[in-house]
Amino acid sequence: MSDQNNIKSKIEILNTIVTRMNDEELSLDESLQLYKQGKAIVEELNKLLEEAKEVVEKVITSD
Amino acid sequence: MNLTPEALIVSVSQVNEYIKEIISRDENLKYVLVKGEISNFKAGPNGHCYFSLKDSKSIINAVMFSTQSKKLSFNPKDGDEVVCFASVSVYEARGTYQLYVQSMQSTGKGQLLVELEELKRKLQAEGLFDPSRKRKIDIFPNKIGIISALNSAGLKDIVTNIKRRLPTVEIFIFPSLVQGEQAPKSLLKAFELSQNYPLDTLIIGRGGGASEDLSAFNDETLVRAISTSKMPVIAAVGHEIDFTLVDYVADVRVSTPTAAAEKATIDKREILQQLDDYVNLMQNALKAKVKENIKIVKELDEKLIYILKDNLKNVQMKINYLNSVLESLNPVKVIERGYSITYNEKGEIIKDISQVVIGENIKTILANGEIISEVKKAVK
Repeated sequence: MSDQNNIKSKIEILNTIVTRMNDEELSLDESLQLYKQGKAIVEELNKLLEEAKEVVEKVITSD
Repeated sequence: MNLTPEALIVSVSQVNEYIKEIISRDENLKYVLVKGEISNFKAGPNGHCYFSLKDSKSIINAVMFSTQSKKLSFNPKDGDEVVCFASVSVYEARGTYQLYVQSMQSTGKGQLLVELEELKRKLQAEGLFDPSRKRKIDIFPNKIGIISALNSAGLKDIVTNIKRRLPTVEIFIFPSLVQGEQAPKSLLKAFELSQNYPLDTLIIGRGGGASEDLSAFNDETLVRAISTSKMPVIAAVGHEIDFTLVDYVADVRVSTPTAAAEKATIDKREILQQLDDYVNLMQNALKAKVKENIKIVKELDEKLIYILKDNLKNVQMKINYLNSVLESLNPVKVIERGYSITYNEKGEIIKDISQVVIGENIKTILANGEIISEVKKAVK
């Protein structure tokens, strides 16, 4: 459940970053900073997703 | 005179013959008109009729042979008041005297029957026989009381059957006379005594008999007393066709002592059988439930896996989408395509010519480095 919440909150942050980058007039530095932050979150999300997939596979194969 | 005992001894037949001879010589007994109420009437297959004639004090046996009974203009039955033209004689084989009826005329219902019916109506009107007063019999009793004649076959039947059906029951016997003049008082006394015991059920019973033998169970005082009984009463008086007022006032009426025991108790074999049935029923229900639940769990399991996989897929899609949007907004990629960003000395991105001052240093960001330049000219 905590992983699920973690994924959910990270997606929300990522969504906010993307919205800000799209809608606001940001400086290059700010854009770069947000971009880097966003990429880091994407990486974390992919990692969490992989872990979740592994857990699901374990549950399925445990029968 | 030398009398030996042998000389004095006579046979039973001789005694009966002698009495018959005396009676047959009596002119008064040759032709009599006897008025009475028919009781215990039985018509044999050969057409002979056997019955008793009674009044409030006495009873006498009577026989009407088929040659006479064929001529009857009515069908005699118990309770009919009749006048019989008869002779009195002895039936030697049994040593009894009886009426040999030649003809019979009905005069309506007998007085005893009329009185009994009147009493029945009165008690009924008072509500003593109301179905609403009838109480249920506890078929799992701890204590049962029995009012009956001590050592009678009826009492033995009841006790034997109760013990066979439910051995745990404690039986209290209240001995009483069940026929004869003293029977009503004796029954009443036994009943009053029984009311001092914490009984679950009280059985009042006797074996069958002629209707006059059951008359004690029509006693008004006894019937009224039974109507106040603290515990439910089962009446087992007489047989199927004999109904007494005690039968009506009792909570339950049965025709035999054995039936009384059956009404008063559940059979332990029935209990065991029922328990077996319940166990089987529960086992089957449980098996069916488990089977059903296994099916449900399997279905839920499949749904859950589907939902989990679907969720993961959705999350992956969302991440991919956001990642692609993020990539499209990557400022470095824009610069790589040949665009650059220039800042004035105030650190503002120069979007308008008015943001630069001649002579100031401005900074241009490229994909792979920066250029510092001095503003020589600003042309709009």
